[in-house]
Amino acid sequence: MNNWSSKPTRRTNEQLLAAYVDGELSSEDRAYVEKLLSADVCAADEVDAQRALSRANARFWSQLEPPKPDAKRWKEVLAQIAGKVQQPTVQHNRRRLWRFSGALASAVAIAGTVLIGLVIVKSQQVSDVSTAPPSRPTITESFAVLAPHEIEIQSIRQADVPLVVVGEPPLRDGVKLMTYSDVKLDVVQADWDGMMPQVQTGSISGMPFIYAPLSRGP
Amino acid sequence: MAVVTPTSLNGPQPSDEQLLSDCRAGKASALDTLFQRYRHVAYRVAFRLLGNEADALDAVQDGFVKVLLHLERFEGRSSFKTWLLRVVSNASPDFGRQRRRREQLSKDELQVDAERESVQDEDSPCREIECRETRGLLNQALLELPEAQRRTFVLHVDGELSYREIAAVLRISVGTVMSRLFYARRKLRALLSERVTA
Repeated sequence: MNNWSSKPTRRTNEQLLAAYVDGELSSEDRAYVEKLLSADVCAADEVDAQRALSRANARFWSQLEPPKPDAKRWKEVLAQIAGKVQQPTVQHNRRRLWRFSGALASAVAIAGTVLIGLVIVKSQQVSDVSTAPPSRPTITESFAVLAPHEIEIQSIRQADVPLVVVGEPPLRDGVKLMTYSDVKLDVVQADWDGMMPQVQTGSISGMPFIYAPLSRGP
Repeated sequence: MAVVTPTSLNGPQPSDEQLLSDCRAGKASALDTLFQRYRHVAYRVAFRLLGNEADALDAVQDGFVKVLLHLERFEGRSSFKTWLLRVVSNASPDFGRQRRRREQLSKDELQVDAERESVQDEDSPCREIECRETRGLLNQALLELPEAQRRTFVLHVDGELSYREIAAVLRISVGTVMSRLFYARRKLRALLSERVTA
């Protein structure tokens, strides 16, 4: 049974032993672990066992190298990559400038898009009553939500600031003006790199909420 | 006619930043160099996460494509390698799921993979049956780790990333990296010893 509970630092002994094996400890923590190892046989055994499967055990890992693809396969992969990268894509269009007629004349350069599933729960609340429909059906679909730092607004009327709308072209159903309270976050999907975005919307961030329907699925 | 020139004779290698800049400008040679530079580490990570060559190559291809199509998002706060491995390791579970849906991944299948690898690997220094078996056992054991531990472990061992880099890739704390590595190794050891003694 180990008695590693005497550690005074904020790291657990398990964390420290792993980092010790990998040479990732500060000198202070290393001194602590070495003191621990001299007093605790179980901890010393654990370090030996951890070391056997650590990166430092190069002999072990070199024997377990994955099989190497042949040159032809690599060439095929590179050709596939080159083909896809050189094709014009939706992403390449993100920097295209957009101009809305009327109240919102914005030129938007979109550096990236976070794909988020949104459920529209309220009807549109646009200050320009003359253009707003009397009621709207509930819509459930995916939208691209852009953070304020991802756009560049060149011109906008003051009254439209809370209603800024940009979309990733081509838009399927045109542009809709919405406020924070018009949408409810339902499902957040992973970003292009597979990471889950940390999304703040509406009154939490106090920033304009920007979205538009996409012509392609998430 | 293609003229092949050993790059090592051409003086210092271009930096990743230079290659990325050239990629943005559409230079095919820059893509080729970048690919040569990082394909192996990306493949090793993908292979360990997926357990077979075909899926690993798909993951590498997908990772490079995604990264190169989003170059405007690379702000240089991390290295290109870290960025690439983030994408590859994030994409790998999807490839694994697709594969399982297609083929119902099983231990038998992993053995078949191992046998196929052994045929392809005749020139490899690891020709001994013992090595093949150990690699098969390791692949099986890795697949039994919780996904978070497996990714952390693979990024460290095969991706050769530091704790800090792994923390950045997975967006977790360095302490969490430490814990995951500790428990991953402990569990791997138990799984491997179970199989060796079985």
